[in-house]
Amino acid sequence: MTHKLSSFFGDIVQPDQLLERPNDQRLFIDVRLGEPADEFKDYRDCHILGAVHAQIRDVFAAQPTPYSGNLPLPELAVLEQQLRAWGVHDGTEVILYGPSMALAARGWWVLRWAGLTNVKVLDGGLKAWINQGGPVAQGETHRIPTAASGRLGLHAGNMPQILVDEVEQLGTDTLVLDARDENSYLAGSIPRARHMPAAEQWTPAGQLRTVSEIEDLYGSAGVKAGGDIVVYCGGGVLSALTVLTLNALGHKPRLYVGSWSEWNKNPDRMARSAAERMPA
Amino acid sequence: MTERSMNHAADHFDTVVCGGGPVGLSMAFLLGRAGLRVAMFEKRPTTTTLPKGQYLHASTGEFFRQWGVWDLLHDAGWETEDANGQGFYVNVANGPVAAIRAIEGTHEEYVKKWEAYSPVFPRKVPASDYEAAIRRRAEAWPNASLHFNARVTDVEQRDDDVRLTVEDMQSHTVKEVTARYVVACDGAHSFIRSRLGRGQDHGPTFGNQVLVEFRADLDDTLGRDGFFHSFVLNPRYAGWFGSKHPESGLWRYSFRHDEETPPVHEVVLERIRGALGMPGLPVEIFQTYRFDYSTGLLRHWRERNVLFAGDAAHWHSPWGGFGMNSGIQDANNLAWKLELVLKGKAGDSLLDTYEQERKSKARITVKSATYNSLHYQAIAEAARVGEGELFAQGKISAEAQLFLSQRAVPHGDNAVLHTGYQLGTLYRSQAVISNDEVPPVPGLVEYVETTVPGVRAPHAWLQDAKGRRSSTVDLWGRRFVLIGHDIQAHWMAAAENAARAMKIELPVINVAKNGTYRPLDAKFEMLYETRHGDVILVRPDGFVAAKLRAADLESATGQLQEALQSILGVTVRSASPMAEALA
Repeated sequence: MTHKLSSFFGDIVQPDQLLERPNDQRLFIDVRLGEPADEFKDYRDCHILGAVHAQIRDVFAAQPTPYSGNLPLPELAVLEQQLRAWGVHDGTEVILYGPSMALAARGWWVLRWAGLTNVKVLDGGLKAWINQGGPVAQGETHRIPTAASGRLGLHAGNMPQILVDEVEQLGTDTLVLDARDENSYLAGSIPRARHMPAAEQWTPAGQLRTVSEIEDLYGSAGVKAGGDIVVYCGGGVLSALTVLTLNALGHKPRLYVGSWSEWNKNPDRMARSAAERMPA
Repeated sequence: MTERSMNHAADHFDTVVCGGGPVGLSMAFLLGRAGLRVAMFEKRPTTTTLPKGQYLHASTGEFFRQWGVWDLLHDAGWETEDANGQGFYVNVANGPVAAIRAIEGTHEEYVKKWEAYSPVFPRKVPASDYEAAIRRRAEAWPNASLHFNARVTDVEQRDDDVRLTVEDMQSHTVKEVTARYVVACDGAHSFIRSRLGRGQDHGPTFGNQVLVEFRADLDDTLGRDGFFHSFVLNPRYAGWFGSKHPESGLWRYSFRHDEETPPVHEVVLERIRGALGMPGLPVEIFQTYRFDYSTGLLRHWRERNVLFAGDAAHWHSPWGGFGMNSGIQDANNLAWKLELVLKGKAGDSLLDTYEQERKSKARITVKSATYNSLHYQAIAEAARVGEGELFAQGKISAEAQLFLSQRAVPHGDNAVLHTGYQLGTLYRSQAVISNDEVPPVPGLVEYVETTVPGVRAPHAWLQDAKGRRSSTVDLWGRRFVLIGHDIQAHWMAAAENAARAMKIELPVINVAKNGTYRPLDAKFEMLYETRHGDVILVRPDGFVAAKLRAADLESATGQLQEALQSILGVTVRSASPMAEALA
């Protein structure tokens, strides 16, 4: 399996690796972003045995403000409260999956940013899990909350990010990657951003493409070893997947969580975007 | 006794049954009959009123006959001629274009045909009727308490028992009860399973089904044709009609509707009239329901002292009518095992045979129900292709008719009846003593009568001492039975020895010209005495446990005791006084 990113990057995991190593301290998180009621019904119909349901807006993001992006980072206290309700402690192995790898990656990035270390994204999600013979369940998962004494100790800043003020100042030596789809990119982007859609990194079945395929994608987007990279998308979801795979390949990208939904709230920034388009 | 321990005793049960559908009610009845302290909790206010689960298999009917439920249902349900097979229509007014009949001939001929296999026959009875009937029999046991409007809100496994929190839905008071064992019969969305289950495997979902109950005068069309289900091919009105309810007089029409809310009244009305091809027909709509059918199989049917039965363990589409029937078979398989374990006559390992035996059947069930759903869809979809112009005129081509009738042939009467599924169950576990006989391959359609260990002990007509006709099936239910044709005397004594040693009841039924029971035809001898001298040990659930053969008392006692010890998972000292003296 050396053609899979998971073979040399511990934050991406295959279903068989999990099934071969049972762990009663493992928590699956089923990450969603669509219409809350529909997503919850879909989760109730079928999820990985023991998985809890997480709507990104409620768990891995805070309420947006008039000036923020759509999905600003959550308050640590709120995140900690949710994790404790799920019984997470410092010995928990957290596995994220969702209808797309990008949703899981957003959960991964936020938990790593908040200081959890044993956090993994399940390659291929629910479908890959079922195809590997993994057990599923209907209904809701009942978790026993973490004891008050249980250690969690979240602290922010454990993943490199970049805030909007700094994005405005970026020079030409930084490679800016736009992870959105083509139409969104063409409708407007951060100055000099290269288009590198995150969705090209997974197959129609929802699994990450091979190492060489993903390396080729980054190669043609201008990614070079040791280079300074900033990644953004619409609201820090698709870009989280790009950060995940770049990390797997040894790069150290910074995530611009606010992304286009924050950038476009300021008329001056939008004027720059219009003036400084990357030549096609 | 302190007040505290008195309270504890009042709320402690041998078994708690979660869920009061057909499976939970059967479980409560059977454990009540066994004299155990059993409580059943069901969140609904009473037994079901939903128009579902109408197909009563002969195998289920046999239990109902043992339980006194069959008698209560004497006047219930559909007449045989009004609920016969499946028809295909372009629209109802133009008459059927293809048919699969479950029954040829009259009701009397149908019952006669089934008499060869069973003292009862497959019927169509509304769930509301049989649930009420099982409930009535279950409530007759003073040691069984059935609670409706009672929702289980928490469950916790403890060292030796299970603690449950139960909320009274009317007063919203909450109480705690404990039970040595819990049987989760709480349906496809089982709460107990969501708390304790260790994983499931899922199949297709058949979503967004709408079912409409309506009143209209269709006696001369749908009623005259007499199908149980009538499929409409016209794609504008694709769906099916269910036959007229025998008591309420309501008809059913069901179709797929991919929206959150059911269609509005005018749309439903137009659809029903369109499917009927009767644009001006007065139609009164009573009730519209929305269903999703998912498919799944629970991986582990036992979690320490909690066992799963019925839809909580296996859930699937309703096509084939397997759900209630297989669930009641689950209950009948599990109840005697719980009884003997709770009474200290069997080891705990006997409970593990429940999953081994019933999950095998459930695998067949989930596959068959899924196949039935997809297969009727496939026939209808395929028949529709290329017929667009003709649909507008309410007809289909000769080629389409031929296609439909050819598809219908391999799914003829037995495919609708599923005789093999009903009667041809085969169990393999510690609770069956296999011999060198090769069992018939279990099939959905064909049933082969046999007494190979692990099968349902087959029906044969007997005459009792008072000259009344009864079935072998009437002899099973409460205890193990040793049965045979012209049984030799040493088996009588051996059964007494074994019963004494195992501390169980073990009556011997000698079917012979001068026995307690006399065979009414050659069938008993043919099936129950495959070799001269054979006796058959039948389990309380009516399945063949072992086929034994011995020439003398010592060998007979030894064989019988060995078989029972193996089945019950216990070791007892030999009943022989000599062995006891030496021990």
